Amino acid sequence: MTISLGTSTVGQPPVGGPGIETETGQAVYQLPRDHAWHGGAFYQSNDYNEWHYITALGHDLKTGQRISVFWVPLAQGWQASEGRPLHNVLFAFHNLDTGEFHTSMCYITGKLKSEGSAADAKDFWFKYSIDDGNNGFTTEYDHQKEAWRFAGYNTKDNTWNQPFKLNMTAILKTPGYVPMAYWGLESIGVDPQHRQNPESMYGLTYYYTAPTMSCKGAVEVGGRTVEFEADGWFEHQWGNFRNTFQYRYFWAWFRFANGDLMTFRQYYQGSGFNDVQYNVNRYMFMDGATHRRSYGFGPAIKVIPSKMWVSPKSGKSYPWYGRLETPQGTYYYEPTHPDQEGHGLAGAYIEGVIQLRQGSPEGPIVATGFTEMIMLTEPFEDGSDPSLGPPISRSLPDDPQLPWIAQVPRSAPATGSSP
Amino acid sequence: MTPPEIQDSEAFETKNLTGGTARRTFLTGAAATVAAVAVGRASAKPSPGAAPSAARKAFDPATFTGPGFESETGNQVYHFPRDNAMHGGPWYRGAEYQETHYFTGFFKDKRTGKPYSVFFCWASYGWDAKLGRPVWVSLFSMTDMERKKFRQAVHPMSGQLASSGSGPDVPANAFTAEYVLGKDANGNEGLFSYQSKDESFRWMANVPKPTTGLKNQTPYSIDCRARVVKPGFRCPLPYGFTQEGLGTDVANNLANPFTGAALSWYIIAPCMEAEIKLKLDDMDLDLTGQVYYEHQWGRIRIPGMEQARYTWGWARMDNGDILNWRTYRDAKTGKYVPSDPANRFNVIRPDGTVQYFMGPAFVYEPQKWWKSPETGVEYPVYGKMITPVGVFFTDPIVEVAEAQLFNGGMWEGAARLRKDSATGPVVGHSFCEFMWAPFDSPLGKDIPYDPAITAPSGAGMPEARDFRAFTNW
Repeated sequence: MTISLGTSTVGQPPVGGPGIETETGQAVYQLPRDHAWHGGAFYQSNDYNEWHYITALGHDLKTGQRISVFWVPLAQGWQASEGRPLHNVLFAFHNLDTGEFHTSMCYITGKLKSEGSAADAKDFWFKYSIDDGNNGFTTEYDHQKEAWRFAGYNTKDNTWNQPFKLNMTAILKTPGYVPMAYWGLESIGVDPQHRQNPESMYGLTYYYTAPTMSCKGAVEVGGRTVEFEADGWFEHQWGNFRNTFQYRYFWAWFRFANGDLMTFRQYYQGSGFNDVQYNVNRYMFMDGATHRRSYGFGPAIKVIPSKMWVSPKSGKSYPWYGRLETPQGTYYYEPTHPDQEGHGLAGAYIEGVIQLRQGSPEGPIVATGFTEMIMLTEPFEDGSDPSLGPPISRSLPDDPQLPWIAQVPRSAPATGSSP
Repeated sequence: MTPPEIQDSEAFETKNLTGGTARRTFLTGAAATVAAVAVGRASAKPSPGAAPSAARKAFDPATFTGPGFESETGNQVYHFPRDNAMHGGPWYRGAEYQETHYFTGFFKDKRTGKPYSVFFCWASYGWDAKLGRPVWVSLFSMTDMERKKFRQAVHPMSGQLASSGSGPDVPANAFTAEYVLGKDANGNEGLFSYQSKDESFRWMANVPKPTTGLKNQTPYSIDCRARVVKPGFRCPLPYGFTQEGLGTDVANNLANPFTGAALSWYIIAPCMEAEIKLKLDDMDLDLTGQVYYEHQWGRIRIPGMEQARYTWGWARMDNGDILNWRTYRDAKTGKYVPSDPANRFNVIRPDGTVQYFMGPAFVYEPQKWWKSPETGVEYPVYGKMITPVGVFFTDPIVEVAEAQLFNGGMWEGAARLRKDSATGPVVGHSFCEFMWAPFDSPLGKDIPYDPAITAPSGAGMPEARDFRAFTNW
């Protein structure tokens, strides 16, 4: 079949016809529909990983004290016992002025209730919720209002879980949604064989942020209710990336007093925050006045610890103090309070408030934000690496075709020779 | 840790799988378990960085979806083999569209054994209202490496474009696409085709009377047949696409995965076995050799973008490594900017493993410049390359390797990599592309740029109900 293209200069159609690709290889994102969690056959995979993450820094409306809230509902792999991906939620509350800190992990069983509009609806919305009586979470999004709601609770009370109840709304503010990492994609983790595959999303994640959200809500924690207002930092990531050394990184975002924003992720191989892989580092800076973005990659950004902090709870060491070298300058980082450690299914981690000083470790504080120090290296009982996620969330057959693998065409070449 | 060895190619041949990055059928349930046991890896403990693991447990659930779940968008970045085709449709109908199928390689003449290098590229871009299609330009150059002679021609085809192909929904090993540019009034014509059956490409051009609008044009006829060999298709950077143009981010901050602005989809096949029939006025060559292939496309032809201010190259090293780099120069100062976010370097090891490096991991330091007598442009063809796999010094096989473009010149030629010093031993052969030209060709601008792409820079999110994500980026 052959089609000839017209030569009229009036009303010319776009190039099309046999041999011309008109559907794939176009926009990387389609919002608002890509705000939703992703399902279908492509992500029905043990390696699937997706989250809506928000951390908020604000103040207690009653006391005026500075507080922070961390909330991330996760969708991971496949849990056969539930007939759905594993859904757990990580939570933390911190009082920056008193050092008060509460953490919790909701491990939620039961059926996921999902609701939503058609993907192309002008009033696009969705809502997800699970409540098993001991834990629960709800995520809602309303495109017309650019409003999100995050809610949940946990009743457990032990070393790593304190009872809480959260209900928070987050309204999108300028500068809106911003592509992260390499213009919306991140090569996440370290794969010694560099098999990231953009046709399967192996080792890759779609990644955008809303760096400024107006948050308001209430959290019941420590025997009282704290009503708060805060500025939130929202992130959405998804892909088939529970395969690389993904849980070995130092990540952070910062909001400077003048409105400038900064975020980065530094990766490690091995264990103990020692084997830095600068070549896959990534960084983004946004000017607070113009909202102009600057990206940096590889050794353009370096986290250089000066002092480790040993957690009394887990015994793990974290690089809580050090120097941050960026294209915008060198800063010195430290925690508001070091003891901001939580515990997920794969082990203990830091998700806490961090601040930057200028000039020296004793210089003035110029920015505050959140950091994740993740170094999950202790194997699960079956010997598998934590980066793969808990075995209960890998109940599908693994797909050996996800990683990119060197290969040759089906038939051997008949011609040619090397120069 | 020591990475396990890559699965050998035989296993893929027996599975009748498609080449390159193509996603294959996902085995589920009992079928996967059987397959896993068959390859003897059913009990393997999965580990990041390890070889692909096999099934742990037979389970075949219904597809997980429902209201509120997105199951169509946000999936794979590439669809192969269909993305090996040229791209069209409303998304790519405008001045901003640009797509190239490019190769460079080293050859020997079958009859004389003498060495040659050849470069050819079909570049499709913008929109020509008179032709009712994007502009199609043939870019050709060759070097007689023994006689140190360089020839080139750049010609926009004005014949009718006819496309044919299998359509996208055929089995992966049955996909075909072909584009024929009919003869123009001067007898110039061309063809480009791809078939997935054997991962082969064909570039043909018969250009007896190249355009008189450019200097030093050589009439020529080329017919190149090339077939992808190991390591197959690959992305030159881990994310699958790249930002094109230093000026974009610095001056206009336009790169945007929502509109596609300033981002280039980017695929390479670093090794293709190739044969070329090439005729020039004084040469009739029957060449055999190996080429390096690239396919780029996107909405990257944007005002304010300095996409033609780069140094790019690949090298086949004597130790079996294949290197590839792209680094940009500041459009105003001419200085290299290694910290530019589009700066990148990769090395493909002999076993097919690819390692990626970003940002200032690669630095190009000019050592000596060659000034074109035709365009006056100075090219840093002698340079020191500081790479993650060592320091190398590059020098050209022939200094005079400038192709004439509608927006200036482009040095595209064969070179060498040396170790230790500028006169040290040769350790690799390379192809380099030095671009130092204004924004773009004047051709193909009969349809205006997409307003979403050319919107003023800066932030300022519209009020919520008018909000469109990323519009201002």
